[in-house]
Amino acid sequence: MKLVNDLLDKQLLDRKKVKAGRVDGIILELRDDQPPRVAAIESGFAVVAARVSERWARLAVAIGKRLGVRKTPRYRIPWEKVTDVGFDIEVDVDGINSPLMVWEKWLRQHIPGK
Amino acid sequence: MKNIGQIALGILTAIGGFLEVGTMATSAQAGASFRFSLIWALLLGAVCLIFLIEMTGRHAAVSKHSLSGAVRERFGFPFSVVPRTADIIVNMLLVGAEIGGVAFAIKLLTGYPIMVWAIPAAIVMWLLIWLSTLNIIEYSTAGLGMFAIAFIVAAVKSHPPLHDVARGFVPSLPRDDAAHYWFLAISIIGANVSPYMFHFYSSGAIEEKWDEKSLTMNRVTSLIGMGFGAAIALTVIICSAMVFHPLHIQIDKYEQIAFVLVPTLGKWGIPLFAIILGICCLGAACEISLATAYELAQALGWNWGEDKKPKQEARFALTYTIMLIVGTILMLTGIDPLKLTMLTMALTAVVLPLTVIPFIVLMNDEHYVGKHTNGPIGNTVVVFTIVLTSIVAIVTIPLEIMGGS
Amino acid sequence: MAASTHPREVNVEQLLGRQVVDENGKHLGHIEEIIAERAGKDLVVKEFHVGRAALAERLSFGLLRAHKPHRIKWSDLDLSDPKHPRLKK
Repeated sequence: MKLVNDLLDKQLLDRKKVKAGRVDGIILELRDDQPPRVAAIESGFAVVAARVSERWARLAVAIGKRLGVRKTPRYRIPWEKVTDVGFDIEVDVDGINSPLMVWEKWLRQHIPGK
Repeated sequence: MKNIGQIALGILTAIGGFLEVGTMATSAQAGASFRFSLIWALLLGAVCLIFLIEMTGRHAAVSKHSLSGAVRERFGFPFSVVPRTADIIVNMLLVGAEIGGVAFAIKLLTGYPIMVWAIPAAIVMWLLIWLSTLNIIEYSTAGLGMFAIAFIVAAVKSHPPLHDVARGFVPSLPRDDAAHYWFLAISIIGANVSPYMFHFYSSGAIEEKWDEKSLTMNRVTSLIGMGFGAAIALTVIICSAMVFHPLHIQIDKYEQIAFVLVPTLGKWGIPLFAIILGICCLGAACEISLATAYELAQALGWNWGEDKKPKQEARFALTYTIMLIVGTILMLTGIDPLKLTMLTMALTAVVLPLTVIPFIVLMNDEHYVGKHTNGPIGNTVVVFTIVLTSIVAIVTIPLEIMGGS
Repeated sequence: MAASTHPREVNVEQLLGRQVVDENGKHLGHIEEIIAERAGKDLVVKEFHVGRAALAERLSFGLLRAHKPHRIKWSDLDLSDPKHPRLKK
């Protein structure tokens, strides 16, 4: 598997196949005398902002804290929770009740209508 | 029914792309200032657009992935943030210009000033997007957009010298006012080949669940839809050339453009112009707002879809709402709508290469388009468009400074 | 370096584009792709692809795929300073 081509920036689907963000980052665990292991995938604006610059990442974290919606600027999904790697990446997570979609949930609760 | 839906998507995309305030303004100015000499710019933009729209539809139908999503996946976030940010900024200005177009159209019919109508116009647009589905927006705007055929009638009735019109299809150098000529040429290309059209078409194709069986209809739709739009834009140039050029009228106000149908259609000229402008700008504003929401949602991986209920994709709905709010605020600042339009057309031309460059990779990537990759003609058109839009992007700002606008 | 707060972890997206140097300081190219393979339940890194050919391969741009990318086995790359990956001696 190609981590950049097949995994990074791909669409995340939660266990109900709902779009739940993108794979904004991949964490490798470095081990002595063993190959690095894919430990987790990460999602969150702070993750993706850090790919542009550290200043953007700090700004994203600060804005998130100020607005008080997102407690975790970087959300980690352990590799064991990844159930399928295809065109999209399926994870065994309940998106709407996880930090993945915390803004979506907040908006749904605060906007009127159907 | 599916085929009708496909063609409706094509016509709506064309109405939103071709028959909106930018095309009206640039085509009217081109005809008034340079008669038929800038028809070649329209033709050039139209040909590029037809090919690129077809590619966009093919990509969406085969890969089931949006253009914006594919750019992020293939090129990564740091690359994709640049065109996305540029598009959002330009689209905000465009929405403002389109709201201005609708408000001006209502002003023509009622006499009340533009600023009175900006907020009601934006509310109507928002309600249309919020309450309806993509099909309703497509069919209604495409259907009502047929009023634009009045331009074809007017162009024929004006008896333009066909030999001169034909000469306009061939690029020529201006006799005078070169900066203005080339600035208008660039603005026509920017007005006609707008990034939001690709995102709207791509997203619409996915919402309508196109697949490989849709590819032939996609070609037909691209040709008919964009061809229709280009034909109407051509008739705007012809009408403007026949009405304003002999009187040496330089178009610098929308109020002037309103008279373009009067000599041929009499008392119906102004009301018809108002109706056409209003409908087309309404469609365009909805399309641009939705296109921006699609782009952002797809780049960031949010839930999206005009056919879903707004509460199911709250961030998507919030995005198009913000676009309409910002556009309305722009109009309420009192900025001249025609100046805003011309500036936005030029800025569109500047950001266009960022949208076109990924096509050369995506349309040759079997991972996305399978066996339906570009052939030599398609790749040649993409490379040509990249070169053309890059040149346009480089010269636009200097031309504007030199007094082109 | 970004975000990973654990000392023995590194972010793939922060490695992407980093220049790899050999023991003599010679530039070998930028990291463009990381190849992983299954090892039981785990997904482990097999090798790193660096250089322009690796970029072309990542972009799937056929015309430029004529050359194979420069491949570096996982055990040959020192990631103790992720901002400056270098070949191990």
